[in-house]
Amino acid sequence: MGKPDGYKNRIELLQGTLDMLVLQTLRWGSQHGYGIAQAIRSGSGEVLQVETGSLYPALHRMEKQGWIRSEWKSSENKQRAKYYELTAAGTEHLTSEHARWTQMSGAIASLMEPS
Amino acid sequence: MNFFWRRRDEELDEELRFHLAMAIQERIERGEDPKEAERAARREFGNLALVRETTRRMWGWGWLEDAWHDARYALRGLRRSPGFSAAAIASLALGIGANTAIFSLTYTIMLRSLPVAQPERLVELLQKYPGEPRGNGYWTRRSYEHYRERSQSFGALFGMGIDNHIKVSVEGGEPEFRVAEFVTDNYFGALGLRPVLGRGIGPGDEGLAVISWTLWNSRYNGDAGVLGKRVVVGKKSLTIIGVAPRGYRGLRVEAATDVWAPTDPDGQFVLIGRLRDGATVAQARAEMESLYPFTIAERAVKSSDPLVRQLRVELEPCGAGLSTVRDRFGRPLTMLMAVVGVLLLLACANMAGLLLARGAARGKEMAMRLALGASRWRLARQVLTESLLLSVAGTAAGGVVAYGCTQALVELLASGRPHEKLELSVELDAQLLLYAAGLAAVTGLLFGLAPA
Repeated sequence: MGKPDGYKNRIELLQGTLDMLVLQTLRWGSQHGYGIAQAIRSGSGEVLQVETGSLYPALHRMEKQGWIRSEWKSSENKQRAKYYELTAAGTEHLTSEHARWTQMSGAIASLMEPS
Repeated sequence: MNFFWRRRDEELDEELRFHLAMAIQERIERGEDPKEAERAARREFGNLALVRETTRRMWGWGWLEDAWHDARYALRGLRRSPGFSAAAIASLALGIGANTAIFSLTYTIMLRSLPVAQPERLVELLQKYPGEPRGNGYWTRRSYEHYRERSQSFGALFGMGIDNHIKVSVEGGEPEFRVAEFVTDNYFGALGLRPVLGRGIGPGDEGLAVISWTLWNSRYNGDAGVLGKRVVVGKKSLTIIGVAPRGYRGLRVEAATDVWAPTDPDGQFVLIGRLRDGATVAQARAEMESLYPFTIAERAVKSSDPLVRQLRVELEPCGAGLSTVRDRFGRPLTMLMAVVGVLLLLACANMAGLLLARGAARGKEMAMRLALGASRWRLARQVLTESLLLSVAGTAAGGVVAYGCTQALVELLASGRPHEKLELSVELDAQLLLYAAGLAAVTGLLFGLAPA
């Protein structure tokens, strides 16, 4: 079974990268799962698609690891929703992941496009 | 716990439903047809059950919760096919039960060490006529003293006379029949027995007695004031000087001794030696053979039977205690042990067959559940849980069978010989029960996996 057409140009994310993107999204305030997925999608110009099957396990795992915490609040349209927000440990993790990612993408770039 | 889980499940459900609702709503706001929007959103969302399962796994309690679900599901499945369940459990119960019963008996009679210091260094001294399977014969005090002075291989040599059926009366009450051992003055020291109260019988002791822990508790309520009281053993009135260690019931396997008293000067007894450190049974045997003519000469004086001259001395390790039951049933029991071992294998093969047949019949169910998004590993675990459940049930039933069999076997061994007052305390061997259960579980796992 092939994937629906809309998926064709989208890139599936590696686990570590997904963690980093989720944490990055939460830097601008608490957000529910759907909001996080939307933010990543629109922020990447519709290129990065977060599968629910990856997103929710990641959220629950990171909550257990103490990088994020959750709270039930009512959403913009008065529905009860589970909001996630960054913890101090999460911020710290994001900083180190970001540095690591910058280093790695720089390294890959210099390999692919030698000046 | 259960409530906590359910709450968490509900919250996860709500979280995922909210996600879906938002996706649909946004599509509608963008102008899509509501029905079309829902279909597209659902497709994009993916398999809801699978998302829920993988997310729940992150809680860390997943395996425990899964196990609980698996167990409940398996139980339902087994109840749905009572014929299969009954057949599997019954065959396991018989296999495990018979093995545990026979092994427990074998262990008690042949292997269980006496609760004394270094039982493996104890040997019994026997006298045999040629061709006699097991030696006989009590030794006289003269012989005992002769060897005690001369032998070099034994750290200690002690003797013991047995009365299986002696009248004992405590506290001036009605006499009861009890088992008594009449022991030489070094018996307690040589066995390394430390009385829980008072002391053991020692050199020069006369008119004294040591009683068993059981007698002390049943007749004296464990009162420390028991020391110094009188107990009538046979025709003699003795003073209690000690209480034997708990669990020590004499040197014989199938009798529970309650009273220990010093030997009569003209008494005869079984001789038991404790090998000196470094001495081997072979050395002790060689030494005893060279000393043994003393007893032949002694016996030849009283008997004109020429066979007396052919008597030989034999030494047998007796760390597991003295047992006439072992002499009579040792070999048959060993064979029986092998037979029931095969029986257990048969039971396992039987269960394997049943599981395979069931697996074949369940192919459709498995295919459907796979299609519904269950992971292969989850299905495998499901089937394994069912097998394990069968094993557990089989073991439990096996325990009951083993208990019944053991009682019956002990009664069978004791029947027809009331004069011996056979009293075997057989404990079900938990280790073997576990071992058999383990074997059954492995069988279950191996063959249970076939359909998954």
